[in-house]
Amino acid sequence: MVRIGKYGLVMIMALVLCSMLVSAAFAGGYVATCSFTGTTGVNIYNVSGSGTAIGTLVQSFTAFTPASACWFASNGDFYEVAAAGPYCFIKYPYLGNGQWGATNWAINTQIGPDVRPFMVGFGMAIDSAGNLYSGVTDPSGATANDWIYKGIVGGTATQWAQVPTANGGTLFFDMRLSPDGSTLWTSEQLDTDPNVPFPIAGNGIQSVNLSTGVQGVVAGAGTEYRGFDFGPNGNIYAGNSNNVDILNPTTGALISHFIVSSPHLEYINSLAFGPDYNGDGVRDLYVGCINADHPGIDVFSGANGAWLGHINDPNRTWNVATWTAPLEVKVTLSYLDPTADLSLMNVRVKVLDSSGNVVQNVVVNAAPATGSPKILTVDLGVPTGSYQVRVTGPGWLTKQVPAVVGTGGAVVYAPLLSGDINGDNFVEDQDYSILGTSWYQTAD
Amino acid sequence: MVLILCSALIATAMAAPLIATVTGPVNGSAQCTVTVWSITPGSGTANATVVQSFPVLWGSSAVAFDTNGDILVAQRDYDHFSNGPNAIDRYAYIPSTNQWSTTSSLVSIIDTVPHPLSQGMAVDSARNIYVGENSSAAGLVYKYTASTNSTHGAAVWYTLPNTINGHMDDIRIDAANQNLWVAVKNSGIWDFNLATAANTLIADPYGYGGDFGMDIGPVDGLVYMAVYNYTGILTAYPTTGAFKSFVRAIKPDPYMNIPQSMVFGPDWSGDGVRDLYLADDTNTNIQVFDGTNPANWLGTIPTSATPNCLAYGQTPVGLVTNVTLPYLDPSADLALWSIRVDVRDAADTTTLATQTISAYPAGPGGSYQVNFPTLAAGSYLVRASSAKYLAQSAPVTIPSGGAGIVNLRLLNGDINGDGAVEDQDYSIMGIAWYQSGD
Repeated sequence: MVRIGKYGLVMIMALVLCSMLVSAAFAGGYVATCSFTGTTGVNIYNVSGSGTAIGTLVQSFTAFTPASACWFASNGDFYEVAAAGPYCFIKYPYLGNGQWGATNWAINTQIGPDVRPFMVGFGMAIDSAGNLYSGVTDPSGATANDWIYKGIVGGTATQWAQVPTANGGTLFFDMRLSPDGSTLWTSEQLDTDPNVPFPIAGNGIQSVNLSTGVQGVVAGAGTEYRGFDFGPNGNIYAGNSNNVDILNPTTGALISHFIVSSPHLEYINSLAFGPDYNGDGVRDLYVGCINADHPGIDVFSGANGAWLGHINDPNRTWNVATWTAPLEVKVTLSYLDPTADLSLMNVRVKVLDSSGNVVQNVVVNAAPATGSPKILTVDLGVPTGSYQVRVTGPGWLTKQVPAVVGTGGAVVYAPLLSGDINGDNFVEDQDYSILGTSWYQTAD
Repeated sequence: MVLILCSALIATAMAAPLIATVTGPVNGSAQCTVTVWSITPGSGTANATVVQSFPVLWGSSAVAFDTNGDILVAQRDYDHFSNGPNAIDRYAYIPSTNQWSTTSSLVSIIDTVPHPLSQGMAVDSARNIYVGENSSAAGLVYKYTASTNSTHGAAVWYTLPNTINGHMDDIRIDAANQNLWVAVKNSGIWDFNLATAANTLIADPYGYGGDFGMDIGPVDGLVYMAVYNYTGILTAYPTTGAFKSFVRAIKPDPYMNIPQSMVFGPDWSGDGVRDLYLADDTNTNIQVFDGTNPANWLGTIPTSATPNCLAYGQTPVGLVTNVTLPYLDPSADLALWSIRVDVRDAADTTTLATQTISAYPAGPGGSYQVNFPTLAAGSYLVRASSAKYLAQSAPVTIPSGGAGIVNLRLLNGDINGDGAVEDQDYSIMGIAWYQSGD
C-alpha cells in the first residue's frame, strides 16, 4: 500500500511545515466586562478583528446579575463577583475552546455569611494559590464594616485587611496583584460625608502586603483613580477622568502622563493590560468608562498610548478583566473534504508536564476550525514551563509536540495524520479491511 | 428455599409503566416463563392484566427491562443443557403489537461455567447491564459494557469478598445518585458508585439474614428491604445503612413469608405514587402494598409459580433510535466522536428534530439510543451520522399512543468526510500506511 492520493505532495509539505514548533509572543486573547447596571451580567470578547472595530462576543453570563467585578485565573477559569443574592464569587471553568462552562458554574466562595446590605467591591483579584479577594463597603458610613475580604477556594470569604478610611467609608474599585505577587493593590475612594450616600473623593491606590495584610505604599495619594493595572514595565498605569497616568509602585509618585485628555475616554472606571492587539509584542491597554453615554471598552497601545479601537459592548463598564492564553495549540485536521461535518468531530488536547503529569485535558468540538486544510485553535492556560502536548481526533493518529511556554506564551502546531479508522492509533490492515466493508458506498 | 423460579413481572399497557417476572427453576432443570402485566390503577384488589406470557430459556433467574422496552433475562443454561454457560438473552419489544418476540437473541455470555446467578439484574442509563454470579464462595458482579464490535462484552466488574454466605438477590440502580445496590443473602446490601465501583456494605441493619427483596424508594430515597427473619419490610438510610423503621409489621403476615424480590412498580392505587410489589417464596402470588404506607395491602397478582425476581420498566413512546458505530477498537477514545440523529419529514425535505450526543459512554455492542419521546404519531425519515462514518437513514412510523423503533448501523471508512468511501479515502490511508500515533 504505497499509493499517495491526489492530495499528494502539497499536503505532505504542509505537514512538514506545520510540524515545526513555534513560540510566539501572542496566543488567544480575551477581554471580559461586567456591568453592575446592565442587563447582562458579564460579556466575554475574543480580541480579534481588524482596524478599530475590535472583539467578537463569545459568551455572556446572565445567571447572576448584577455582577460587580470579574477576573480570570491564570488557567483561564473566569470568576465574577455576583451582587445578586448573598454575594459570592462565581466560577465558570474554562473549557479550552474559547468557551466557559456557562451551565456548570459553581459558587466558589461566598463572601461572608451574607454581607448584604453592604456593597460588594467593583474589583477583584486572584493570587497564585487561587485565593480570591474583593472589597465590601458599608453604605451607612460605618467604617468598621469596610474590609477587603479574602476567600479560600471553595470556602467562605472573610474579613482580611482594612485600608485607611475616612469618616464616611471606603469604596473599592480595581484590585490587582503586583507583578511579583507579594502585594495586593486596590484603588479606593472615600466617602467624606457620612450623611450623604457616596459623595466620594479619591484616595489613590493602596498596597497591602499579601502575607501580613499590613498596609504599604499608596500610589497617587489623594487622586481619584478607579481603574489601574501594572504595565509591561512594572509601573502602575492609573486612570483618572479621561487620562491615564504612570505611577511609581515603590514611591507612589507620578512618573508621567501616558494618555492625556483622550476623546475616547470619559470617567475611567476600570482598566487592564491584556492581549497584544496591534502585534507589536507589547500587551495593550483595555479601558472601560462609567458614563452612560460612553459604553464599551477602548483599546490603547501598551507601548505608546495610541488609541487602537473600540470593543462595542453595550453596557457601562464597571470592571474589565483580560486573559491571554499562554498556550495556543493549532490542530491541523488534515485531509478533510470541504463538506465534512466538523460538528461531529471532537479533538482532545492533553498537556503533560516534564514529570508526565497531566496539567490540561480538554475535549473541544472541531466546528470552529477554519481554512484549508482545516485548522482548529485551542487556547489553554498553563504555567510557564516545558510541556508535551498530545492531540488526537476521531480517525486521526495521536500527535505529540513539545511546547516551551515562557512569559510571552507559546504557539504550537499539531498536524494530524488521518486513516486510523478503528481508532487504535495505528493505520494498518484492520483499517484497510474496514474500508473494504464500505467500499464505494455512499451516505444516505 | 423451595421453589427457585425465574419470574419477571411486567405490567403495563402501551406506553404505561411495566412490571415483569420470570418463573421456573434457576438450576436449569426446566423451562422458565416470563409474564408481563399491565396495571389499571384504581381501588380494586385485582388490577393486573396479563399483557403476555411466553417461555424463556431454561435456568432463567433474573429479568430486567432495557431502556427501549426489550426484556433481558439472565439464565444459566444458554444451550439448554445443565452445563451450559451463563448468559444474558434479549427478547425484543415489538411496538406494532405491544408484545415481545418469543425468540431470544444472545446479548452476552457471562461465564462458560454455570454458577448460580443473581435473582436480580439492572440496566443503567447507558444501557450497561449488571448481573451477579456466585462462584465458589465469592460473589462476582458482572457488567456487560461497551464492547464495540462484539456481542460478548460481559466482564467481572467487581468481586465481592469470599466471606459472603449466600447468593445475590435484587440488584437495583438508584438513578438519582448513580449508585448500584446489590442485595446478598445472609450478608447485606452493597452500595456501589456506578462510575468508580467504590462500595460500602450496608450490613444487616436489623439482624435479618436469609433471602430478601430490596429497592430504593422513588420518593424518599430510603432503602426498602423485605426481610426473611422478621417477615417484614423495613427502611434504612442509604448513606449509612442505619435502620430507620419497620414500615410493615413483622410476622405473622398473611401476605408475606419468605420474600424473594421487591420493587417499586406501577401505581396500583391510583394515588399517583408508585406502589410496592413483593414476590414471596411460599405462595405463587405477587402482593402489592401501598408505596406511601406499605402497611396497607392493596391487592394480589396471581402467578403460576413463585416469582424469582421482579422488574419494573415501561414500553417506549415516540421514537426510539438505536445507532451502532461498528469497528471501533476497544482502546478508541470514544469522546472524539459525536453522533447526530435528525428526524425529518417522510419526504426528507425538512428537519423536524435533532439530537447530538457524545459517543462516550457507549452502550452494549457500541450501540447508542437516542429517544424522541414527544414525537407525534406519523411517518418520518430518521438519519444518523457521526464523524467519518457514512450517514444512514430509515423510514419509521410511530403508531398512535405507541412507539416507532429504528435501528441504524453506520458504515465506517469515510476518512475525508465527503459522504462516500472511495479512492480518495484509500489514498489518504496510504499516506499514513503503517504509521502509528505518538
